[in-house]
Amino acid sequence: MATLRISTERCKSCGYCILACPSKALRLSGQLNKEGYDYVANDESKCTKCGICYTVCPDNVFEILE
Amino acid sequence: MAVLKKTPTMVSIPNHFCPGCGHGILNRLIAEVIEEKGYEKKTIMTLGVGCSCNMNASWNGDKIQCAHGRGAATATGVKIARPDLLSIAYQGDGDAYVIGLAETLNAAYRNEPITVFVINNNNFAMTGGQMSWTTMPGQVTTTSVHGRDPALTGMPIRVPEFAATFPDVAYVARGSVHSAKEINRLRGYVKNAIEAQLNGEGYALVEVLCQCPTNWGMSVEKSIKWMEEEVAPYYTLGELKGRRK
Ligand SMILES: Cc1ncc(C[n+]2csc(CCOP(=O)(O)OP(=O)(O)O)c2C)c(N)n1
Ligand code: SF4
Ligand code: SF4
Ligand code: SF4
Ligand SMILES: [Mg+2]
Repeated sequence: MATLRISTERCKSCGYCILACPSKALRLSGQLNKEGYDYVANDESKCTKCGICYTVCPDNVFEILE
Repeated sequence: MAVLKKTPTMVSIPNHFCPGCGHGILNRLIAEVIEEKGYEKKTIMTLGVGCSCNMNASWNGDKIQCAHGRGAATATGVKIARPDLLSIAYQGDGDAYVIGLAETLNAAYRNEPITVFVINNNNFAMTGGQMSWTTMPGQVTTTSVHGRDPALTGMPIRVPEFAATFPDVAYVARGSVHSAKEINRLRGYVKNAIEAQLNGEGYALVEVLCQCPTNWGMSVEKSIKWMEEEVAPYYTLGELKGRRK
């Protein structure tokens, strides 16, 4: 099963991935990273590992790994 | 179906662009194509002056910080000195189309075998959001506080359309990062622009419409909507000159 890795420390809370995710699997977590940004979290049960969040994220937060 | 995705090494260092900035997306696309071609250690990027200066810290590859507007001229020099390398200019609209218009057009006119990427975010972003020649009619900037008035300052400039009329140039396109679909299309343009150089076909230019949420004073949601509804209809997306082979 593929896994979606979220490098939360790179997230700048811009929200582009949340707008783009076709499965509505992403949201802001309400937690702050070291830079003070409210970083993104995903709902595993909704995520299809389609990679669209990787495509739109300007900060390379997402990777999809084997 | 899961699609495996890994961050390319040339963008492995966190960037210093603002939240939601389009620059970061284009950086990744260029990095993906360079990695695909195995050119990570055989590429020199000539950086324009603007928010591209942030890449001095984050672009994980060889680069030269150019004088303002001279990205294409410096890339020309790189290619003459080292024809074995991939020579890429990375510039903003203000850099490439305003202060550096002569250098940009002359490199295209001479059909220099280089690849030029121009990030068109409709303003001079790095200096605080002044009007550029690419600023849209009615667009508010710090130097067009009531909105750009084309009767006074002209209509936004379309340089790729002009460059595409030069008979020999290899490839010219305009893409955008306002949706996943457009980003995927843009990836194809980036690939063609790099392959054209690697195959010795000549000059290639790709302009990229990019959001600048900070200076536009818009959220990412508003930014991408504005790009789709206002910017892309004027700055037509697609290939303006396809490769010959
Ligand atoms: C000779 C010179 N003139 C003016 C400036 C000020 N300046 C710095 S960046 C810039 C424009 C940047 O705009 P653009 O190329 O569109 O890049 P962006 O920041 O929007 O990505 C200007 C006018 C300068 N650094 N040097
Ligand atoms: S991989 Fe696809 S479904 Fe999963 S969070 Fe990213 S965009 Fe949403
Ligand atoms: S697009 Fe990237 S930086 Fe922006 S909120 Fe999503 S994960 Fe964070
Ligand atoms: S000022 Fe605009 S172009 Fe520059 S880094 Fe911020 S969002 Fe990007
Ligand atoms: Mg600009």
